[in-house]
Amino acid sequence: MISAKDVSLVYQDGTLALDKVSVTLKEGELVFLTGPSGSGKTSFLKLLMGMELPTAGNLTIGESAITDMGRKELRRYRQSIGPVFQEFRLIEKRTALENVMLGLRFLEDYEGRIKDMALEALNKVGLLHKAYGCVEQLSFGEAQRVAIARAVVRKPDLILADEPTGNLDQENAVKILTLLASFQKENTTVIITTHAAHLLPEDREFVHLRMESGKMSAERSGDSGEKLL
Amino acid sequence: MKKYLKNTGYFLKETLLLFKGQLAGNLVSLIGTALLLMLLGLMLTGSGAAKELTEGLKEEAEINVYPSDGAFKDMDFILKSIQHTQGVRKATLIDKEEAYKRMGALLKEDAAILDVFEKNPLEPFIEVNVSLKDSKGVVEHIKAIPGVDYVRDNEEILMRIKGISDFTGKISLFVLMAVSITTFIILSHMIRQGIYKNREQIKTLRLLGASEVFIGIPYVLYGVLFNLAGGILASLVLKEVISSIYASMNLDIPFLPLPDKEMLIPYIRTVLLGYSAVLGLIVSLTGVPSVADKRRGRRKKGR
Repeated sequence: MISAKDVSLVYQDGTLALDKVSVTLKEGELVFLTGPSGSGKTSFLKLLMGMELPTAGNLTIGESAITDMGRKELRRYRQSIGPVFQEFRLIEKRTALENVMLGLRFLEDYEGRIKDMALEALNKVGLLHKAYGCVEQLSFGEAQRVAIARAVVRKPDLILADEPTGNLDQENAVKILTLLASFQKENTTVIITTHAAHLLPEDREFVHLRMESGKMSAERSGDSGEKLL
Repeated sequence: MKKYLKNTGYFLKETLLLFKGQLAGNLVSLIGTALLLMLLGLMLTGSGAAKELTEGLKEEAEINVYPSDGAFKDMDFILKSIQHTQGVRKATLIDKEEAYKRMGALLKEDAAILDVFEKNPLEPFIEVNVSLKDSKGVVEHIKAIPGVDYVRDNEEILMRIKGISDFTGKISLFVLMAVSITTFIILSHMIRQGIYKNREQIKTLRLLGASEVFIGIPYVLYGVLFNLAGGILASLVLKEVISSIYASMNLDIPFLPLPDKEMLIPYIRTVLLGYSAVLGLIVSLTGVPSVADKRRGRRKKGR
């Protein structure tokens, strides 16, 4: 479970990225975080990835407050999540397969051969035929899917995707959102940030968080319009 | 530990990619490192040979005893007196024919000069082997034996050789320090450069949950293997250099007892490789901690 209470984030240059954000997300939720550029979506995700620390407030993931995590605990937490970065962060001069295998290499335990698991993940995102191709030769959409494969190969508890629809056209953007949403399970929470609020699925239940100038509002999809704050 | 062993292939591949990443610069640095290590190897060889020579000669201090003109018939008496002198290891009578033969061997191409003489110009003498520390006392004692005209020892030469050996030893130490410091600077710079060039990759690995040790291993391997490669290159070239030096010294100074080349080369090679690997490891372990994430700051209080 993710619990944020009056979480604020002020960057070193004084920019107020998050302004007393409070939200509670249950395990296994599908969450879309929408808002215009600069509204704080990526900043919220950075907090969840452990890339930044809140300037104020409490952010708890599971049973641990992110501010209380030491190096080892933070490392273990990062090993349990599947991040899909806005800029992909694929390692150059490596194949798609090698990049996906990286998602498993330093985990403390995993079952099976990492190569087989990586191939399976690439198959799930429809890129098995590109497994041995260098990532520099992939298209934008293909690189995006390799990044997703790297995130999901470790069967994480939490998938965090930052602007995965990025520079994609509408058709491919919908495909990517659908693909990511498909990884939501009982024990796997998926949080996706996107500025394309109009592309959110209509055929499944999800939590919709809206960011505007660092402030968050939330509602669950469906007819109830239930508030989550 | 198991996790790191499972990823040996990955680490080696990453190390190779690090080297390839700045190929031209790395090759130049490798040649430079090899030359430095070769210089060190040459100094160690010279110093080691001089030391071994000195030690060997110390045990072989030689005194030649020449009887006076009328005392040749008393050679047996003189010989027995010398043999019973304390400190004498061995005393041998070298007769005229043997002396002639030895001189011929020493002169080699110039031995024809001996044919100028109608009869053998060389006189018999007694060759005495003592250890260097006893030679002074033995010389004084032998001089006092009746019938002894002249005693020649090589103590002065040996002391000079010992002096040269000590000098080369000190030079070697200096060269060792200079090579170590220079290699340290070159290698640590290369490692830091590699870390800087791959900083985004390092950040990605960190964000995916890799430990600092996991991230640092390829850089440690890079340092060790790079220096070891320099050591291998140096020892290959050094073998040829030592062989050619030995060949030239055999021609010019036939009586100089040099260390056995077949034992010296493997010894120097082992020392060079071990030194380069250890130095590479020390430099890597010193430079790699710059990989560590220092950034995780605390939130500001009171907000």
